[in-house]
Amino acid sequence: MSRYFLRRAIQSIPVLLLITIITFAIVHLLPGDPALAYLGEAAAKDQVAYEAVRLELGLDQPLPVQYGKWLGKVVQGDMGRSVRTREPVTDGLSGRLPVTFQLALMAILFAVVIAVPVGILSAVRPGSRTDSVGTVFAISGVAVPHFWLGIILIYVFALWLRWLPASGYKSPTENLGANLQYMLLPALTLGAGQAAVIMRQVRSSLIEVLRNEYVRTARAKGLRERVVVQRHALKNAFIPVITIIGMQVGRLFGGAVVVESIFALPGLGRLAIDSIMFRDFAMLQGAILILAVAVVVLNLLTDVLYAYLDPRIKYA
Amino acid sequence: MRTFSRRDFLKLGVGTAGVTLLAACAPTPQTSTPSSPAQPTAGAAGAAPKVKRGGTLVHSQSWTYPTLDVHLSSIPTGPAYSSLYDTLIRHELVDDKVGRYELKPGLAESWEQADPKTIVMKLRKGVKFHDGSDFNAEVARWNLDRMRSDKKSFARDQTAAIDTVDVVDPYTIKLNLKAPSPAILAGLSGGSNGSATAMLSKAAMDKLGPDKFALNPVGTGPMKFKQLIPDDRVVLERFEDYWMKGADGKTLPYVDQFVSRYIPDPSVAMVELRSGGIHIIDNIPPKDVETVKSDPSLVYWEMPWAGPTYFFVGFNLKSGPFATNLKLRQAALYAIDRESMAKAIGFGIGRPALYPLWNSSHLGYDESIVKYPFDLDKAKQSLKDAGYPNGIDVNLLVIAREPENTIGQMAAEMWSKAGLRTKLETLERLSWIDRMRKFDFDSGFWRISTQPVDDDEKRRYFGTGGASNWSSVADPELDKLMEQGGTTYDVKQRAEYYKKALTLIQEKAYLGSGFQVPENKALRKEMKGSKVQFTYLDIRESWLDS
Repeated sequence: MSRYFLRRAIQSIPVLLLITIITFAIVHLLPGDPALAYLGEAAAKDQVAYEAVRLELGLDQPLPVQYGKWLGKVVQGDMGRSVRTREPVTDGLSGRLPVTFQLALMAILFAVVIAVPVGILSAVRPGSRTDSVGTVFAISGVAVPHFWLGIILIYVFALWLRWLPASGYKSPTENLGANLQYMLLPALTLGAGQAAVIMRQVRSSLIEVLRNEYVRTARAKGLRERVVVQRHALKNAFIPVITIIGMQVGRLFGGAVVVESIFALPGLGRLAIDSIMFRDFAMLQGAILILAVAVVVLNLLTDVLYAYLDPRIKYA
Repeated sequence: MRTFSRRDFLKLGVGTAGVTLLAACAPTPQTSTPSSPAQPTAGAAGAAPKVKRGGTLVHSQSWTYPTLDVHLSSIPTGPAYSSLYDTLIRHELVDDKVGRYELKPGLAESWEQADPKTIVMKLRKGVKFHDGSDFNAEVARWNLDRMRSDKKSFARDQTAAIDTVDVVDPYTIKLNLKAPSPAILAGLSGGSNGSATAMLSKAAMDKLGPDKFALNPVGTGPMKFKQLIPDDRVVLERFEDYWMKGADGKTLPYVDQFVSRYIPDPSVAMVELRSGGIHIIDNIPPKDVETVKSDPSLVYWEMPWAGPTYFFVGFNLKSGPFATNLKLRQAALYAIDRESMAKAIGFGIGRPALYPLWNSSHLGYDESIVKYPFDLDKAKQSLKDAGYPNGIDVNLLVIAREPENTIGQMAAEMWSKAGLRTKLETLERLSWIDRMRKFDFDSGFWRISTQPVDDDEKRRYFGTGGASNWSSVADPELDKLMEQGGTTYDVKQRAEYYKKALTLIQEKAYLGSGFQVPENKALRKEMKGSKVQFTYLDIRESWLDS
């Protein structure tokens, strides 16, 4: 198994390299450059300043040279400095990664905690009232956009009830209690859509498994329904659920962009968008690399979970 | 040139935005009374109102500080800057009814005009930077040199009139001007450019270098740097050795800590304000004004003489249909219904802007100057005279954001009604900048975020090669008038030049304008004593009554 992982890790290197080239190309295909972003619409007609900024940022050099220089530095562990925020890219990323990581983790956690029981209840009694309520919940979870749900939650919990802060972030190392208060609404907002998708998957997958012969055998043995579902059906029903959760992580980062903007969280998603808007190549590369690595690692993790859930799956 | 007297200089008044120059200055240390234009403090005049010390003041804005090195900041107007740094001269609002300003001593205790091209400034003694280094003439000269010589400096325009700076003695500098400059003192106060001309610690810059300084700023201001979380907040704390004293005789500031947060979504910022998470927001959207006014825990603070101008429209004067066709430009200007625009998007606080860049408090403003009030018949006639009896297809470029999107839709419809069939192109900010720079447009509009403090600043919008001259207006006659206006101390004479300049802009229909909304702030009741420099929040005298 470790050889398999090693192979997967080596395979991912060209993928990551390709991602950096594509990112570089896309950023440079977009109209405008960081020098114009730096000057803004109030000063971008100032040719002297424009040339000075271009020179300082090395934008006067040919594109392959710019990319080569960047790559050369990255190999030595220097990811450069952000044009937009002036901070070293490594500092920028290490500051924001924990925010998005925690947000994603809590969102997935919420999603699973809500979706799995509701999904199971729906599957065990398809067509029942519980099932209908679960389905309505699922459909609205997918249908409601993050920005709308986020604002509604802010109004209810921050303005009316005054239970939670409306926006902002506190580091968990500084004050864990406060951190959780700040992260609760964003994680709920981000998790809602995921919960819906996962719940539907749990439901359909469990219904399918419950129709299998071995389930009938288990019931025929006189096992209680709870034991049948928990011991025999659930584990098997979870393989497609894990696949869905793994795939959702990619979407989660997309949602994080919106959620981080609403709740004013200094996370990786918003950083990526702001960096694109600013053509802040160094920071964007860093952010995309981290997200790419995260997706690669999560895919690996999904594979490990498959093997755990289904003994027939083996990696050589 | 007529002889220049000290009286002339005093009279400067720099009519724009009602700035009055004080050549002679208040005694030091300057003591201030904690009153805010928005919140007149209770108590008869003269009785020192009670202030409370301590607490953390939280502010939010919808943009993030690009750098904390204020000379190199494209938005040098945030309160973190005015808290970290001091300027030589302060630009204080003294009458919020009419928007009258006075230039007051900052790090310069007094200044005198030795002759039209020389200003001698006495600097405040005993002022320390947050790193313990001294503020003195050498440091002031270094700062003024940096503002002018660093090509990335956003204070270049404001200090361009200075030729050289001499250190006369450790606390006296002499500014040798290239030409007489009535705008230089307002420029040194920062004026509409916030804290761009503030004084930075040379010792810290030498030690850290510009990259690290940008993240660890050192000034002489009332607050010293504590923490920067990029894209989230700047945290500052009280600087114990600040030179300015408060109403209680102790040093300012009153609050212990100041947090300037970045909240990108204005509706979330409003919830934060209403729920007490933050104390003050700058520039709330017109649609939220009623909410603030009706909430007993909030105060609405309006500065109607200043504020952003929307639909500041320019034409491609290099190529395309508008370039050489005056009648076509006039048709476009006649077709804009500014009243409707102000009403629809300004939610009751917007008002039409008759002239581009000039409002009634500016030098040379005169409503007898040719203007283009909304008149569909005239617009259609002008279009015919322009040689397009069957109308013409044009594009209008706008940056994709609100309220610009909505304004663009209104404008496109108004133009189309008059026969200028308009294709509205809503572009991401850098795409807009890129196309405008490449002259790949017929017409485009942008916003002017605030009113110029001195008429001389207007050059950047239509002077040849100006930093915000998107239409590329290049009119030698106009340049000359602005040059004359910018080098004349006599206010009447100066106003004449600017009147001629505005007349020329209007006759040639170089630029158009839509409407203006007042500068505003929304704050919580418990936040007291707030002041502004120009219109920018200055928290050194703010205190929390809670």
